[in-house]
Amino acid sequence: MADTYLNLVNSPLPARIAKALGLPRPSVLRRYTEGEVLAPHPVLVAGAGAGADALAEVLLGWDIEVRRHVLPGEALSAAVVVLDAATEPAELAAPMLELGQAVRLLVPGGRVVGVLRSVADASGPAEAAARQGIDGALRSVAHELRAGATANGIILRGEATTTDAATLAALRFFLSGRSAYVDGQFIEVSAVPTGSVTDLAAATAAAGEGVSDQPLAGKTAVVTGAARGIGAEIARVLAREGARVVAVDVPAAGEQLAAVANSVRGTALQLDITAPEAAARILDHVRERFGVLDIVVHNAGITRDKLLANMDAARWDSVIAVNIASQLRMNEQFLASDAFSDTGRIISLASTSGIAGNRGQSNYAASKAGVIGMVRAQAAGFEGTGRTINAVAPGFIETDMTARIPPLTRQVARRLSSLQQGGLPVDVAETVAFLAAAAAAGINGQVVRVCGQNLVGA
Amino acid sequence: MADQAGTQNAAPSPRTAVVIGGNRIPFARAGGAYAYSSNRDMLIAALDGLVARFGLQGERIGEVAAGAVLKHSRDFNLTREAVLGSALSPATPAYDLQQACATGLETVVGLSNKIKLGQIESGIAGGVDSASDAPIAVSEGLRRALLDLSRAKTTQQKIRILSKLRPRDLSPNAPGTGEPRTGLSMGEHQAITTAAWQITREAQDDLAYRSHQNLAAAFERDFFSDLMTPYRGLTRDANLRADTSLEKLATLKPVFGTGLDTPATMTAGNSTPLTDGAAVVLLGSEEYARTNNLPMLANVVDAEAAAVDFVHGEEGLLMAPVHAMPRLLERNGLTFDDFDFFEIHEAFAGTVLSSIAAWEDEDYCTRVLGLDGALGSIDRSRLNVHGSSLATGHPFAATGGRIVASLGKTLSEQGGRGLISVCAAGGQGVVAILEARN
Amino acid sequence: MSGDAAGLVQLTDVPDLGGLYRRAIGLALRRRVTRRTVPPTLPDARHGVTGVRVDLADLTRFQQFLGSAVLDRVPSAYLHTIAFPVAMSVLARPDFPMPLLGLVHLRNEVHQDRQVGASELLDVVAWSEDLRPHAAGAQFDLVTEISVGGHRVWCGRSVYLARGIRLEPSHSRPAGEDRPAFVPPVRTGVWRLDAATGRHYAAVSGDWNPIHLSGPSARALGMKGAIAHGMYLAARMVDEAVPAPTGALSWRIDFATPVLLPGSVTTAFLAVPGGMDGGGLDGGGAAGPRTDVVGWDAKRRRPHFTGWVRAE
Repeated sequence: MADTYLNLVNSPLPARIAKALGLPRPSVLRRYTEGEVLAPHPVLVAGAGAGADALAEVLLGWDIEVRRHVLPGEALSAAVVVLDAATEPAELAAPMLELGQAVRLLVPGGRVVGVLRSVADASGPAEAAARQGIDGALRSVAHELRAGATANGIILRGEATTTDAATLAALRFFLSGRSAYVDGQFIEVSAVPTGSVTDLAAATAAAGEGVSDQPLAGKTAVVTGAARGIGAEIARVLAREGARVVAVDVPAAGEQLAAVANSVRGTALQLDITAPEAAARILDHVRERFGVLDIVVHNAGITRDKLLANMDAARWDSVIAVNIASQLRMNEQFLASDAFSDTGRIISLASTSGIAGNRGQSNYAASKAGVIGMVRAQAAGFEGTGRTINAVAPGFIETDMTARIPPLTRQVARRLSSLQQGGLPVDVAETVAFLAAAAAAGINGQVVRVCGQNLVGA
Repeated sequence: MADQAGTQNAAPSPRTAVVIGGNRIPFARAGGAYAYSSNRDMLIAALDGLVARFGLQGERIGEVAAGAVLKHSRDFNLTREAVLGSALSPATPAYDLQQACATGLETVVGLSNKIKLGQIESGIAGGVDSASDAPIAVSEGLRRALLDLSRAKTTQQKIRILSKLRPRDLSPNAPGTGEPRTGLSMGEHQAITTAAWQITREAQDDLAYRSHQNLAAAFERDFFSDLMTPYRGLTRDANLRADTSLEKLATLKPVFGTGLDTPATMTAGNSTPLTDGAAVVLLGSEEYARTNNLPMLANVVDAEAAAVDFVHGEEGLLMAPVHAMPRLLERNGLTFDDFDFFEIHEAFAGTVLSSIAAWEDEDYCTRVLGLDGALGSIDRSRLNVHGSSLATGHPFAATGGRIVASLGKTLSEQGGRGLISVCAAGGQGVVAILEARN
Repeated sequence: MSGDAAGLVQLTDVPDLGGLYRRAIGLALRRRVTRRTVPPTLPDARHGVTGVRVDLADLTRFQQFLGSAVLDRVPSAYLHTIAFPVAMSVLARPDFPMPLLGLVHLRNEVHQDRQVGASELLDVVAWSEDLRPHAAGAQFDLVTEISVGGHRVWCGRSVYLARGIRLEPSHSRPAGEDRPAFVPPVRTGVWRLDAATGRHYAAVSGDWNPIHLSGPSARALGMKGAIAHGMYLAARMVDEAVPAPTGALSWRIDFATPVLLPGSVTTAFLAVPGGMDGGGLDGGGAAGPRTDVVGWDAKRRRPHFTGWVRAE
């Protein structure tokens, strides 16, 4: 499972050889560690307008050195380009060129974050062109960045502002090592009705001070497929963030499940999520032990790969049953239950295969694309409430599952992303935890890819 | 069931002890999946599964009591060592208990009593046994020589001690399954009892068949999903033969009682095989359960132990529960009719059937048990409804924990009262009452 | 050795059994060539030793070998063992009319008034009496008494058969009884005796009679092979029937056929409710519930011994 090539090219001599030969030179990504400093170097806030100014103020409050213009030769931790006021494509030139200067000064693992408004809310073609243009430009920047740096965007919907709790939560996520393998992604943020995000969460997100080490403290999270791989990591990260984790997996995986539950001080619940009573058992367990169900992470999934021409009903049906049908059934029962929190979070694991398709995975892609469809439809239903539903779509993640891919194919798959490496389960887990937080109340119906901007697909 | 049947004769308990839940690892056949796991390993696995199920990580439990029948001398503090190797708080005290096959049930009784007295709020009871990793002792001659050697001071003394050793002293002693005072194995003893009660081969095979059927059905409906945690790749009891039939059982050759004048009826199919496994039960006061939002499956009402003189032929080796039962029922003002579920440990099919026959026998009950008449009959449809030792296997000290957890869950699902009967080596036995809370 | 008016021969010490056996072998060789018919009288002599101490280490080895609890309480059978050489010395007297070697041990009956502690000083006296005919020869009793401080605490009566010895005509020989076929009772246990059982018991009891030690030594004395000590069987029987005696204890064992080593003895211990009269030939002893014991060869369906033990 270890990426030996990545380790190799990050030692001195092989690094020089790889450079001379023009081989991919993936970097060791900057990942979150406890006590992480968001930006040890100054952060550029480029862009004009009230939104940019207000955001710069907030960053100052986070103890970040803020630059409104690039200082020659000064290293930058990140560049935040605030383009929320752009009304036509011509207005992009100045901030983008300023960003171009900043990119040269980014430290390894640096960040580019664009803040823009949604094309859907544009008042006319010119404004829409400008907003869509930013999208293209930022995606390109993401491709151009090296040394583990990433570029992502925050799209403000409707009344959302650059300093809304959800905007700031997304910005912190992108600046942090938590988003190490999230690259070339755009997260849409909506204004939320007051009360659906706690005052405390809003205040701390805005002030940046006293941001809780444990934003999920007091929350109860159910993670399916928690016995191993990504699910186990999600359980760990949610627990690290303070959540009480109910680790769910099939009885046969009980031994590993117990180990995971014990390592995160959670509880293990052995059940088959395709069983009709699965949701009821989860609800009974949560109601009895913890009272309220706050977070549901639909992680459990299986692959039964076969070219469609060779596909049999058993393979097709089992993948659909586990990966999407179970989620639909359980969500229906969760939503019908008074045990599911008014500020509940549902996070479903999709896949880049569900977005772009993948050879030999028609069944899997159908289930994962189905997840995306389900998430978007349910998100519409959650609008105006404190609940959210989002999808996280992992790309190539180093797990037991991907370890079964033939070696050469695996090597190629790893290098296909802008970050030229596979992601780790923790990268997926961090994204899940970000979406689970109270501050992410304005983020609903999103599909966040954790793929290192994989070339495959969109 | 008669609701007015009360506990008028039993001393009132100051508090109630409840079964919160249980966990066991699937039972493996000796030399199978757990061939290289020690008692400590298996007990840790069972404890860790329980901790995971109820979120007890780092919690200081009032006391953990467990034991093993086949025990290495190095495991003198087996349960405490297992606690230290588990996810429980290292500040959790533990003690070992040994009452042969009744070990597991007796730990439940002991800790329940402590809870009732208010000495502890929570407890984990259970047991473990490995027939695969059994201790092997050196011969008595070598053992004594080694002990003398350790006390010898001079080289001459040491040489003198070593010179007394004979080649036969170097062959090890495997643990015997025989009763120390009679030299007969448990199966040979049961064969005498089975013959005395004229239990037929067919009746024994039928009981074994039902045990397998009931256990298979329980697995089929995921009954054990919150009672069991897989271990070392095993997800079901390895001894379970879901596809066995009366015809297949009838083909097996008798293994016990072949030296008796009566036809031998006990086969490998209607006797429990040597098994490895562990089981634990979480017990607590009502307050503990409520404070920690834990389920309460059933109350531990009362228990009674008995022993019989099998050495002098007065009674069968495994018939002690037969004697304990009327005492327990009388103290609690109950009869068999007041019970909805019966868990009679299937050491051998013949044990269960001999016990039932004895309780139904008016002459025996008046003459031997000193009752006014027969104790009563047991509705077979309420007996071992989720299978018992013939199907699950019987890692001696683990059986009590298995039964208490399974019966507790059954009572929480279906209500009513449950009666447990476990026979043990040395002519001992323990019987106990669990009761649903609704 | 000194004699007194009552025919008591006071020995200075407990005799060495090995020496007695050696002397017996010598006597046997001489007698073989001398006489076949013996006078119908036994010597009047009583042999006694006073102040016998129980050696704790020896006692411990005996208790461990029998599997009985290592306590200061001296097992009833061990008291016999302690006194045995004194009794043997009676049989080894030159004027004793029958050869010591080849005597068949038929029965033992013991009445003990109380338990004896290991620290007590024991006075032992032994004599023979009641020579009478037997279907297969002649039998007599060898009586042993153990006293502490002048009070008798233990009395044992062993019955021996001298095969092929014909008493002089004044004694008529009884006809052989028609023994009923042996019907084994329901077994309650089994003793598995290995080939070294005889040597081990010899080591803890001091009774090195060659018929117990090995196949060749036993065959040299006319046995089919090494056989278990009768007193070993008796000791196990008593200990298993009453593992924790507190007061008076009586027991009896009748030997039927020898137990060849190695071999298994299937046993039946049966507590007799209420108890029955246990004999009490010499008065004293226990009057409590009785345990009947049978030991037999399950394959050949032949009894090895029958007996009973009664504790107060």
